[in-house]
Amino acid sequence: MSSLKRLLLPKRIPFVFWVTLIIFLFVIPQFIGKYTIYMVMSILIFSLLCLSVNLLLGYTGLLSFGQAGFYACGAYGCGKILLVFPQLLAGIIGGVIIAGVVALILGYFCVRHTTIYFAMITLAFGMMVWALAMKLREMTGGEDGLGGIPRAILFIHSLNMEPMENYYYFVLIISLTAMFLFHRLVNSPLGLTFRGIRDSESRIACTGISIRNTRLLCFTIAGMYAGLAGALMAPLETRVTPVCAHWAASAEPVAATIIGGMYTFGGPLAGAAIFFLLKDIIVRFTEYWSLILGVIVIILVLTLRAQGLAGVLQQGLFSRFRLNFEGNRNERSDIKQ
Amino acid sequence: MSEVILSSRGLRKSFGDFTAINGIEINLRPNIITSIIGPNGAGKTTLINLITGILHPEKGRIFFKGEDVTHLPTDKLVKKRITRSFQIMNIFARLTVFQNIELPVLSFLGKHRKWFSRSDGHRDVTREVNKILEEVSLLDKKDMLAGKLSHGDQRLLELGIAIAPRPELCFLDEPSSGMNPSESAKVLELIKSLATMEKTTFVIVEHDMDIVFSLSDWVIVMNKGEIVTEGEPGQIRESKEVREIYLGEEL
Repeated sequence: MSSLKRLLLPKRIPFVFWVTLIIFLFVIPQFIGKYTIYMVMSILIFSLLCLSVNLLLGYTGLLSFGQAGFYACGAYGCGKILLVFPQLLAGIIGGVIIAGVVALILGYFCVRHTTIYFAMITLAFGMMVWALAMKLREMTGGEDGLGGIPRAILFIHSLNMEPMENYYYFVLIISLTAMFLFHRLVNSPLGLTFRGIRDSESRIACTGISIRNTRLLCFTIAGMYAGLAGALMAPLETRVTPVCAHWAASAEPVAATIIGGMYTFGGPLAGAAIFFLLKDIIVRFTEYWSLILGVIVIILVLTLRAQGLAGVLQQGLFSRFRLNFEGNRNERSDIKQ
Repeated sequence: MSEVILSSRGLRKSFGDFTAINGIEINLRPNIITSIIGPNGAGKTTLINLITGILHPEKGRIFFKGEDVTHLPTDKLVKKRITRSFQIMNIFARLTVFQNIELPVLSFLGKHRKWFSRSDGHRDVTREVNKILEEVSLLDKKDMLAGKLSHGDQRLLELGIAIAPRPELCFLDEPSSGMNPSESAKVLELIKSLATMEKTTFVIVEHDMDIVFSLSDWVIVMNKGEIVTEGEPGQIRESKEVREIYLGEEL
């Protein structure tokens, strides 16, 4: 078999796809303008927020409407640190830790609840963060937000993050590392435990696994991912406003995750790109963008259903590939359910 | 009765005005198969739920090998090697058959918190999972989604999940319900061999009296939340009291 044919074997297609995408993301700044670079960065950051939602929703069966709260914790935390101590990595790590600690504390109280109660508690938390960001004017800048956040140096003076291209590579490397770690996590024994909780809580307890502790761990990790997204966003926008903690900001990654496919690793990433691009395009044409976007989201969710875009692709195109290349259809598909 | 693996003292549980378990005192002997029988609503499943930590008693104590385990949660009881299966099918439907067994094995070996290695990358886990799948005759279906198995195979898988942590005491709630005779026979054979080979103490709730009398070493009869009588299968079959409880039903 020739090396090209071997490379195109169905089981290698995802690997080839991801490698191609990563190379594309590394070379693209050479060919596009500043606004497109900004767009790609925003999609990468939004993807991290969607991964955070999917860790809870797709892998553990917990619907959170409060991820924007952790996103805001990461953003304000990073912003405050950078204003006092302008070292980019310190700001990012600080933002992630703050979001993680808040998630750990909130999770201690809310992970014993599931379904609608869990969703309501997380929604209330998100709105609490929004209210605090609005009212604690001296600390957060109130409605105007926290301005003048520097895209500070990365430890060494020569690594200046002020130019958009430099910050793009920083965001890309951090995002890809976070995605790689996420992929390892969901395919690890701990990831399998999360999926076990999603499928049957009573059964997982009967295998000797503490549901509460495992959920708390999952909730904290998800909070840290949302915090990372927020921390990367603050230096990009150079400003953080309370809008990022609003419940609508929590609903957006949920919608994007469902559109992309919540039982898959790649689904939320695809959903993030589709949702972000749709929003960006529609906003240019009408002030009723949220109405149009809402209709499109409803149609996409109803058409793609629980499988999402990634599920449909995996079931349709990919299985067809298998037929062509191997002559047999593999019946195993986690997203058929 | 000299040796006891699990005992309860004055166990009581109510749901509103209905008393499901009323001061039950039970003594389970090790390394034998005990069946709990009784008409619907007798409190058999509630008793298992109390012992395995799914429910908590209002009164009374439960002792496992002399240790008070009354208010321990289910996962802690599994660590003490008390496991169970459910009356209503309870498996991980969206995971593969292999992964269904892998979860309790990972937990038993203390590897379920590992977050960087691949879940199927632990040789000792894979070996143990394959061994259990072979025991429950599901090795050839290990890559199938559990939800796509036949009812009989799902019951076998549930039994596999229950025995995966290598329990000392295993409760099986109607293990053969909804199965055809050949599937039932397979399950019974498996329980018998596990009881003999692995020295597992099985406690079975079952409605099928043929299964009860062919499988059990000891039978406990419950009615209205209380233990009416207990004894060897032959004694129970001849008991007038038991016949009255099952009036109209042939023993």
